[in-house]
Amino acid sequence: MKQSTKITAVVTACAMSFAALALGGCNDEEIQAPAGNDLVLSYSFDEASGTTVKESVAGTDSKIAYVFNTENQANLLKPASEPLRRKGVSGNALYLDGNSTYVANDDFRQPKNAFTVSAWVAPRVFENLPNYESVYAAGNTRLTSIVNKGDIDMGEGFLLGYGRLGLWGIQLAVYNKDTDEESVLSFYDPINALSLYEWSHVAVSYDGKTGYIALFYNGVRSYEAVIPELANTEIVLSDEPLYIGRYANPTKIYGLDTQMVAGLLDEVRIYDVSLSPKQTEALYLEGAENGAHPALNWEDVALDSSVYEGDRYRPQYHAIPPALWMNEPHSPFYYQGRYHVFYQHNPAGPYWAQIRWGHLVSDDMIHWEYVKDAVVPTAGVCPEGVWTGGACIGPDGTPWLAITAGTNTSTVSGQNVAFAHPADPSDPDLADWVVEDSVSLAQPAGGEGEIGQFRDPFVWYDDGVYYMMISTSIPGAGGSANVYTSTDMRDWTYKGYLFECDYNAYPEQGIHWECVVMLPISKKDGTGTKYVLFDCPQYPADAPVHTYYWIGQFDKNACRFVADDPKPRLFDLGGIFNGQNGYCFLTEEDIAAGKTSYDQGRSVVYAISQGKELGTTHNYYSGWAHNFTMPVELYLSDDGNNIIREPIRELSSLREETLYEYVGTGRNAAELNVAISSVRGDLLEIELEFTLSPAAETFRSGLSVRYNPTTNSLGTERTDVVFGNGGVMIDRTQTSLQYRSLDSSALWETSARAYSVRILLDRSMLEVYVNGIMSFTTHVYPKYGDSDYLRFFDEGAGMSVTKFIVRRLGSAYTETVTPAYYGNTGNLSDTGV
Amino acid sequence: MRKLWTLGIGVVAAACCVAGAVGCDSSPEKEAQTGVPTEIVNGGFESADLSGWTVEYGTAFSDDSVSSQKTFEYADDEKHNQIPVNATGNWYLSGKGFEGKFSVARTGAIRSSTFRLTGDGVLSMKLAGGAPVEERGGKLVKKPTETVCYVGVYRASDDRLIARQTNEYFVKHTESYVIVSKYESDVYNTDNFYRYELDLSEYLGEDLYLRVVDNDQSNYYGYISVDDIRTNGDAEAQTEGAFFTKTRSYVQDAEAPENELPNGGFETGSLAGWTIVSGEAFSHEGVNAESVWWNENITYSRDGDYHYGFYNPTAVGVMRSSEFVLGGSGYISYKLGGCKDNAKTYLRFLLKTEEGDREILRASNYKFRDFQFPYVANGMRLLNMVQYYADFSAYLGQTLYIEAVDENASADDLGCMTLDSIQTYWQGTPSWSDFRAAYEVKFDAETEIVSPCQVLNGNFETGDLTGWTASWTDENDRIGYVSSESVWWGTFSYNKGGNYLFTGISDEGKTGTLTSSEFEVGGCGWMTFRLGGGGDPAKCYVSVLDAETGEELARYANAYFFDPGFTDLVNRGTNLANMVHYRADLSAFVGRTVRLQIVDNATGGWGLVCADSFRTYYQTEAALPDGTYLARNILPRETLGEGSEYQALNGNFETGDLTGWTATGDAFIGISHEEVWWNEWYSFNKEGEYFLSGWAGNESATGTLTSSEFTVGGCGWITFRLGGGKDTSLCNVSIVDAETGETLAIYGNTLFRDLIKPGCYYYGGKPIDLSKDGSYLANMALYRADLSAFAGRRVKIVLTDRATEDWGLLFADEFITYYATEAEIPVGATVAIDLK
Repeated sequence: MKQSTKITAVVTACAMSFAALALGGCNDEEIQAPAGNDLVLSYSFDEASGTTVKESVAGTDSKIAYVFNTENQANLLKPASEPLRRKGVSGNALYLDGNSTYVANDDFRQPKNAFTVSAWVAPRVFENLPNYESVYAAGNTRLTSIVNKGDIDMGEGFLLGYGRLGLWGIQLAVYNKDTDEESVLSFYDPINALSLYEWSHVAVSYDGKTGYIALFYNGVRSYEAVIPELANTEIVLSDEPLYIGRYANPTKIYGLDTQMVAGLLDEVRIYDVSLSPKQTEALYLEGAENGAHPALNWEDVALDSSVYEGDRYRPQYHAIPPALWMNEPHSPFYYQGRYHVFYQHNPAGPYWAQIRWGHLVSDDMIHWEYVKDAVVPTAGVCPEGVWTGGACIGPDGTPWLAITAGTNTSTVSGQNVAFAHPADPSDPDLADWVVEDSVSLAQPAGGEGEIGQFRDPFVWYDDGVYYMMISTSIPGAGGSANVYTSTDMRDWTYKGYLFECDYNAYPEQGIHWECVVMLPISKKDGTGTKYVLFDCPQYPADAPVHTYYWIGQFDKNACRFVADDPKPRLFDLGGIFNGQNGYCFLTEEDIAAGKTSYDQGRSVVYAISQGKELGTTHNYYSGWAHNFTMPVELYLSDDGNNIIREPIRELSSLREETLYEYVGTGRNAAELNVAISSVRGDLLEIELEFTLSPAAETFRSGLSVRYNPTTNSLGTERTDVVFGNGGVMIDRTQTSLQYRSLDSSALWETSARAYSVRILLDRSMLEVYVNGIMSFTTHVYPKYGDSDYLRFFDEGAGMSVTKFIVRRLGSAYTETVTPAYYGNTGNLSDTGV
Repeated sequence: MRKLWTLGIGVVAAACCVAGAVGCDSSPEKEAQTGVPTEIVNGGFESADLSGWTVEYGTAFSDDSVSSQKTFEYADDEKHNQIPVNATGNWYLSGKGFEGKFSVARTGAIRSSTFRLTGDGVLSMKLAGGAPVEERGGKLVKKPTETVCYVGVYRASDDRLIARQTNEYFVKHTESYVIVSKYESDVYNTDNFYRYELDLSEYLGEDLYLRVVDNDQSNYYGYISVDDIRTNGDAEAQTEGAFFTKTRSYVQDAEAPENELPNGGFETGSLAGWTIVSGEAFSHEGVNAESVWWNENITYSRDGDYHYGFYNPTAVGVMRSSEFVLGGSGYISYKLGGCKDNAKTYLRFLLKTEEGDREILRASNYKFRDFQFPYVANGMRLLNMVQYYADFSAYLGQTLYIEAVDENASADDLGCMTLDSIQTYWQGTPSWSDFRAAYEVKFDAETEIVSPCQVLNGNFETGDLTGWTASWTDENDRIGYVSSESVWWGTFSYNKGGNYLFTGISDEGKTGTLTSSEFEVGGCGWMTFRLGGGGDPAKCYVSVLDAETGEELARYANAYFFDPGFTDLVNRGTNLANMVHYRADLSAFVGRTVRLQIVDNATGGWGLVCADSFRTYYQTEAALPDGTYLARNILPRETLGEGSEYQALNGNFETGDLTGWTATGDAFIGISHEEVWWNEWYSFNKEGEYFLSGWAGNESATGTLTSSEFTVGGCGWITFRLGGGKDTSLCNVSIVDAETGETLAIYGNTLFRDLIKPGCYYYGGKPIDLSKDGSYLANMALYRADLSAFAGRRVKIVLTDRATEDWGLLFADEFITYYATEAEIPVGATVAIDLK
C-alpha cells in the first residue's frame, strides 16, 4: 500500500517550521505511521482520466457522478465529457464542479466504535447554508460534505465537511450505550479555517470507547477532548452509500444540490481505529514532501471553461465567466493599459448563491482573460457576501474597489460600503485584492435612504472630487440614490438624493433602485455634454426588471441630476438587458491626444444578458448561466434627446471572414435571398442598410436569423428582425422547436422608412442595433443544427437594401472554434415529414 | 526588553529548577528506575514562575501568570469582602495574571514535564475560573466544548489525550451580597480553587504529561487558574515557595533614530521617552498590553504588543514626548482612539521657538463615532484607534514635541485616550501596507491668530467667555453659554469651528448682550463669523460698536435663517440653530477701534443667538475662506425720500416698516427681510434688507398700498421691483394724480412666468436666481417706467391687489422715483408696459 512505503521517508516534527502550533513537541521520535490493516477506505484519485476512481482497500472502482457523463447526453448541449483531474498532493486529484461531481460507494461498511477520517481539500468557495431543521440535528450547521455516510439531519452516520468562511469539522450521530440515547454532536476547529485555492489536510480521530475526539489541521491537533457525551458511544448506522463530495440529503437552491465540494479532493481515507496525533501527523506529512506544505497553482484549482467546448448556446466572443453563474457585471476600470471588469459570481454552481466578485481582464474589452475571484466573503467586513460595487482610480493612483459589504445582520442595514485595493498594483492582472478591515460608509439609523436599501456603490472622479452614488430609496417615495463626495476617498460628505422620480407617475420605477449608474455623454464631435442616468427598478408594479434611463444635466455642486424629461425610458427592448454598469475613462492615447477632463472620456456600458428564461434544470445541464452583453459606447444624439449606443469599435478584431458583401444602389429581398442561400453561421456580424417604400398601410419586412430552410411536420425555426408598419421588434415565436413559448421583444414604435442596422449573433446571443438609437438584446435557442441560415422577408414593404455585409467572427478565448454540438437533436431537414 | 517583574525578597525554594530538568524536590526513591520522575516539575507553581513548564502557544500563560494573591473580590460586592483563593502554598497559576488584569480574551497553552504514573494512579489538581458555561441574558448556557479551558493528561508515547479535566463544579453565586463561608465550603466555586481527582490507574506505569489549555475568549471566566498538581495519590504538595508580592518594573530608557520619537508606539511596555507633566491620567501602568477591551472583546486596532490608554478614566493629566527635529516629508502619523469629548482630551503639537513654545496643531479623535456597537468593521470608533496623519512640512527642520492632554475627569470609559504608533518621520506621503483607512488631519483655521486686529477669543476656544463681557451676572439670566457640543437637539450639527461655540439653544426666553474686547479694524477690513438662531433680525443681531463712543457702526443679522418647518432638512436649506458662515465688509472703518456686541432682544420665535468663529483680521481678501455668505449691514438707514420733493417716502421699505405708505384692506401688511423662498432657496432678488412681501399676509387678502406724494422730476423715469401678481388686471401698480385722483398709468408684473420644471431645482447651498431661466414668480423683476409725460405733477404710487388665488399677491421693493438723467437708471431694468 502506498502510504506504508512513503512513510519510510521519515520526517521529524522539527521540520514543520510552518506549523502554527507545534504542539507535539520537537522530540526526535520517528513519525508513527498508521497500520495498513486499519485502513478501510482509500481513494487516491490518481487516475489520469476516466469516469471511475479506484477504492484501493477493496480494490473496487467507484463511478464518478458528473453532469457531463454520457448517460446525460440526451439532456446535454455539448458532447459528453469525462470528469477533470488535476495535479494533486500526491499523483492526481479529482476536480469537483460544486454541483454535480461526487463519488458514491455502496459497499463501504461503516466503523462503529472508532474511526479516523482524513482528506486533502482545496476549496473554491465556502457555502453559507441554513442549519439542519429536524429534531435529530436541529441547530447544527449544514456543511459542504467532504466525506459523508448517512443523513445527519435524520440522526445517522457522520460527516467531515466545511462551511461558512472556512469553518471545518465533524458531525457525528452517536448512540450512547450508557444512556441509551442518540444525539448529533458537532466539533469544529476553533483555531484554523480552511483557505480558498490552497491545500488543507483535515483529519478527525474518534474513539467511542473513551469518548476521545480530536481534530487535526495540517497534521497539528487543533481540538481534542475526552468527553462524557462521547464515552461508550457508537456511530448510528445508515443505509446510505458513503459519499465523497456530496451529502446524503442535501438542501437545494433553485432545485440544484448544495453541500457539494467545489474544488479539488485528494487522498481521502478512513481507518477503523482512532489514530493518535503522531499517526495523523504522519498522514499529513505523506503529502508534505520534505516537510513542505504542498503548493497549489491557482490555475489547477481554477474553474475550467474547456468543459463547455461545443456548447450550442454558450457565447464565444462575449464576456462570460469561465464557468457556472454570473449575475450583473460591474466596477469596470481602465488601469495601465488594461481593462478590468467584475461580475457577481457563484463558483459552486449555475445558480445564485455565495455571491462574490469574479474578475476579467482584457487589453481591448473583447478578448478577456479569467482571473482569480477578486473579493470573496471575508470575516469582519463582508462575511455575508460581496455584492455589486464600483471602481475608480484613487488618490494614490491605483484602482480602488468600492464593494457592497454584506455584514452582520445585527447592524442597521446589513449592507455597507467598503474598499478593496490591489495587493500588487504592478501586477498586470491585479489578481489579488485586499479588503480594508472596516467599512467606509455605513447606513445610519434614520437617514440616507431606506434602511436596508444601501448597495451598489458607483464611484467616479471628476476635477478634484470623488463622487459616490449608493442605490437606495427615499422612504415612501420610490427609488433613488444617495450621493456622497470626498476629496480623499476617506471623508465622505452626504449630499442628499441624486434624483427624485415621481413614483406615483411612474410605478414601473419600483420602490427601490439598484445599479444606479450615471455617465457623461457627448455628441460624436465631443460637444453638448449631458449625463445619462441609469437605474434598475426593484419591486416595480407589474413590470419585470429592466434598464431605464433619463438624459439630463448633473449639477456637480448640488450633486443633483436634472432630467430633461422626467419620464423614464427603457434602454433596450430585447427583454434581457439589465444590471447595467459602466465607466467613463481616458486611455493613455486619449491623454496624449489632449483630452483631460472626465467627460472627454469614453463612456462604455456593460450589462448582464439574462439567460434565465429556460430555467435551472436547463442551467444544470448546460453548466453555466448568463453572460455579458456586448460593451456599447454611448454618445448623445445630435438632437440631444437620444442615446446613441454602438458596439465598441474593438469588436472588429474578431472579424475572420466576409461571407457576403453588397453595397450598392439597391437590391430587393428576393434577389438577396438567392445570393445568400448558402451563407450560414452562429457567430456573425451583420451590417444592413435599407429603405422601405410600403404599398399599403400594413407591411412587414426584415431579416430572419438562425433561419432554417426546412419546414416540415414539426414546423421550422427562425427569429425575425421585423421592420413593419408599427415599428421594429424581434419576433421569437418561431425561434425554437424545443423552447416554444419564448416572448418576443417589445415594439419600438417608429415610422422610419430608412434603417441602418447592426446585428451580432453569438451562439444563443442576438443583439440588434437600429439606427444607432435603439437596441434589442435577446437570446435564441434553436434546437436543430441547420437553423443557421439568413433570409430576408418583405410583405408589402418595398424593401430596397443598399448595404448588406455578413462577417464571420471568431472566438475571444480560443484560436479555433469548436462547432456547436447538435448530435442529440440533429438537423431539422433529417426529421419529420 | 519587555515588562519585567522583580523578586521582592529572598530566593524561592524552587528557583533552582531548570525547565525540563528533573524536579529538585523529587526524592530519589520516588523516581522510577528508568530515570523518569513520578511527578511533574513545579506542579504547585511554588517557583513563582513557569519553571518546568513549556509555553506551547499564545499569551494566556507566562511567568506573569504565577500569582501570590491570597484573596479576590466578587465584582458587584459593595462591601469588598475578601474571598480566599484557597491556593496551596504561596503561589499558583492565575488565569488573570499576577495583577489580575489579563484580558479574558487571551488564549494559550502550557505543557508540563513528563512523569511516569505510579502509586494508585490517581492524579489530582486544583482548578479555578474556566467556567464551562457562559452567561447570556442571565441564563447559563454551555460553552462550545472546543473553547472550554481544561487541563489535559497526555500519553507521551503517542501524544494522545487520555483525560481532560475542566472546572466542572464551577458555581457562581447570584445574590448581591457575599457570604465568604459559602466559598470556603465549596458551595460556590469561581476564582477560588476546587480540587479534582482523576483515576488514571489503567495507565499505571506509562509516561504522561499535562497541558493547561485556554482557548476560551468568553468574557465569562474565559481563563483558568491551576494549583497543586499531584501526579499520584501519595504525593505531597510542592514545597512552599517564599511569599512576596510581585511588582512590575518598567523600562525607563528609549532611544530613537534622528527625527523619530523614542517609544512612539509604547513598545517598551512603559512610558520610556515620555515625561509626565501633570496629573494621574498618564503613568507607566497605563501602557496597555491587551489587544481587546470590554466584554465584547473589541479590538483596539493597535500595532505591536502595546499601546497607551484606557487607563484611569477619572484622572486628568498631561504627558509630553521627547523633542524631535522634523525631517523627511514632514508628515506625522499616529493612532488615536477614545477622547469622546474632543475638547478635553487631545494631542497638542508644539513648536519650539525663541519666543517660547507655540501650539501649532491640536488634534483629537475627530472620527469618534458611537455607531452600530460593537461592530468595529461597520465603522464604530470608540476606544478602537483610528489612523491619522497630518502634513507638518511647514515646520521641517524645526524642533517639535507632542503633548497628550486629558482634561476629562468623567468616569466614562470612552472619555479615555487610546494612543499608539506615533511616527514622526516619513520619507514620503504616509501609506500603510495593510490598506487601512487613514484620515488626514488638516490644520484648523480656528487656531487663534495673534493680532491687535483680532478680537480676543472670537472663536471661544478658551472654552469660556474670556475676553467677552456679558450683560448678565446671574447665570439664570444668560442668553447663552460656551459649549463644546457639536449638535443641537441631540441631532443637528451646529456647524461650529474648532471645539467650542457660543450657543443660546437653551436660553431662548432671555434677553441681553455679550460684548467683545476692543480691536482695531485692520488688514483688508473684512471679518468672518458664524451665526445661528435669530429668527427676527430686528431683535437678534451682531453689532459693530465704536469702542470709544459706543456708536453703532454696522449691524449684521442671520439673514439666511430659514424655517420652512422641516427640521429634517437642516443642512439642506433649513437654517435654525445651525450656524451660517458669513463675511462682512468693515473696510469703511479701517483704523477705528471697535467692539462686537451680540444682541438678543427676543424671547421667542428662535429668539436666541448661536455664534462662533469671529475672525476679524485678514491681510487680504484673497485670504477669506471659501463658501461664506455676504452679510448685509442692516443698520437702520435714513428714511429714503425724507425731505425730498421727488422721492416717494420709504420707497425701498428700508425703515423695516410701512412708514410713508398707507394701506387699505389686508393684502399689504408685511415687510420681510428674507433672502430666499421655498426649500430650493429661490432668491427674492430684493435690494437692501427689507422688501414688501405678499406672503406676510394671506394670498386671499385684498387691498391697496399708497405711497406718499411726490413730484415727477428729473428725467421722468422711475424704477421699481415687482414679483407675484400673475393677473395684472387684478394685481398692479398704478400712478395716480395726487390732486385729481386720476390714474395716469398702470403697470403690472408682465414678466410673470412659471417655467419651473418640477424636480429640476435643488437646494445647493446657494440662492437660485430663477429669472436666469426666465421664471418670474415671487422673485422680483426690475422695471423702469417713463413718467416724463407727467413731469412736474404731484403723483402717488398705488399698489393694488384684488386677486385671491393663483399668485394673487405682490412682492415689491425699491421704488426709486427720481433719476436726474437716464444714464443713472440701473442696467437691466425692463421697460414697464402701461396697461391703462
